[in-house]
Amino acid sequence: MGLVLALFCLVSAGLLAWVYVFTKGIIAEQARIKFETSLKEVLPQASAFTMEAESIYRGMDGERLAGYAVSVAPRGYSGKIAILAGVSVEGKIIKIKILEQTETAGLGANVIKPEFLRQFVEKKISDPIEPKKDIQAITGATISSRAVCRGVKEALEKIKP
Amino acid sequence: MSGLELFGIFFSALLINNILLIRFLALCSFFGVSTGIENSIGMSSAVIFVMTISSAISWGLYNFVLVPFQLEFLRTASFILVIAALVQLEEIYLKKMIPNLYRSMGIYLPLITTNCAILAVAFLAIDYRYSFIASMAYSVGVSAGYSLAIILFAYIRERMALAPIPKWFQGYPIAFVTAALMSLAFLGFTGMFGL
Amino acid sequence: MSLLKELNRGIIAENPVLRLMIGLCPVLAVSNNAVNALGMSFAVAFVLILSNLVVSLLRKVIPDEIRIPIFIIIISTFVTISDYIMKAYFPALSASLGVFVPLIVVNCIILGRAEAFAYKNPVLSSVMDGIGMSLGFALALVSIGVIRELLGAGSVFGFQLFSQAYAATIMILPPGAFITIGILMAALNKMENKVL
Repeated sequence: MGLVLALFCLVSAGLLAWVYVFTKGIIAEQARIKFETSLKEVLPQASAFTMEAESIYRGMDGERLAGYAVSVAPRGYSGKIAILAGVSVEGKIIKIKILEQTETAGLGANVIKPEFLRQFVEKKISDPIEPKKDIQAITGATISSRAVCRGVKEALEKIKP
Repeated sequence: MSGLELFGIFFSALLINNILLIRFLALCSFFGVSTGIENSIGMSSAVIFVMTISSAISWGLYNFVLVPFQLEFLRTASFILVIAALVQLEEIYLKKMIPNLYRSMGIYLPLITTNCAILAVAFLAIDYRYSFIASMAYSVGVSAGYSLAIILFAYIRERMALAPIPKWFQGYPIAFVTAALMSLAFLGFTGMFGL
Repeated sequence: MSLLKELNRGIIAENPVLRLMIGLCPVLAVSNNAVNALGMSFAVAFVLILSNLVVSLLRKVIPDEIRIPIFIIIISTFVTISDYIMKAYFPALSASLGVFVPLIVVNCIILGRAEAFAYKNPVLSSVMDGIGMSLGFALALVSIGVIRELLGAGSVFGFQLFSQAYAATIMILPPGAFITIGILMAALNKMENKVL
């Protein structure tokens, strides 16, 4: 009886190991493609990216510096909100994108909507970037909105000259 | 990790992300056991007991065995087997050592193996990358939140037995509508203490 | 046809969600939109049909005393496989279903069918039973998902039918899940009594 159980465990573990090895590469590849498309999306002027420091990517348009892409992950309502922000050489937001979030569907999850994210374009470090001031928060999701604002501020701060 | 952060994890697991009413886990037991107050108290104590121990053990298993040997793909299988074995051991232990406690919660122990909250807490503590202490605060918060919701619900259902309920709604349908109202009330904790 | 009977049973008469009240957790948790509901249905169908198949194939080899641990091993193997496949080919769906994919392992429907049906019946009827139960599960899950998405976000499968400004957000929040399933069950009770 113990032998049968051991046999089942062995077959199962073997099968899982095979599936794991088989899908590992694909999962990593998917994540890489997704991240690279996101980089291009927030910094469309750039054609090549190099990692400058932890979470800061330098976008180059040929020989010319096109701007930076900065990734931040402020704490939202029910977890971290991973944000990628494209910042111009002058230190203004070009575009921001939410990479990952686990906010409440229908409320906090609305931070991914373009109407909300559009408000951050052209913001610079001297702007307040706060709900009720220059950002219209999402109805019923003040915490998530505030978290995104904090994240954008943090991103601008990171590449302050 | 500061005390304040630990309190935040505990409080958010207790009320804001209540495992039954907001996260929708362990619902089978929520509707099945809450028909009597005594049953729900027995089930709650069994859940508190098993959840705390099993999340400690599964945290150790993941961080000291599965990760170092790169066996993360065995996570689901090993956790469920460990929990099932653990429940058996606890049952034997209680029967021998603390018969009084066994009498009050013994019959709920076997039911716990298929209680998805136990497994979910083990998974989530790892997904959130909690430290050992934080994962303990989390599992205590979750199980306290479970107890709070199921005992309150049992009280409401006891009252409801006397209420004139439309025929089609008797039994489970009205229980779900009641749960909806409780869940709405728990949504009101959102944003408390800035969590 | 007896095989058709196995298939039909799971869809209405013994619908796992609305009748037997099992496998509720994912139904409530991932039904806030129709796409998630469909994705979850596929994952459950994959695990349920294959575990029914394997349990039924091996029912003569599995010793009676240790059948439950063996069922759990079989089920958790398929659950992990579906989890990795989803991560590799449908990363967005996998992210939004989150922890509920690995939690299929404790979904009472699957262990319940292995124990109550597949362990005692030949392969073909077990597979049919698995398909029927999966369809019943999918039917309940997707209809709840469609109702909640329509009322709560004004869309179905992501197609906007009316503006979100007129939608009742409560329907895609947790209370909306409870209230939808409660009313659906009451409606089913009423319908059934009329037929009788």
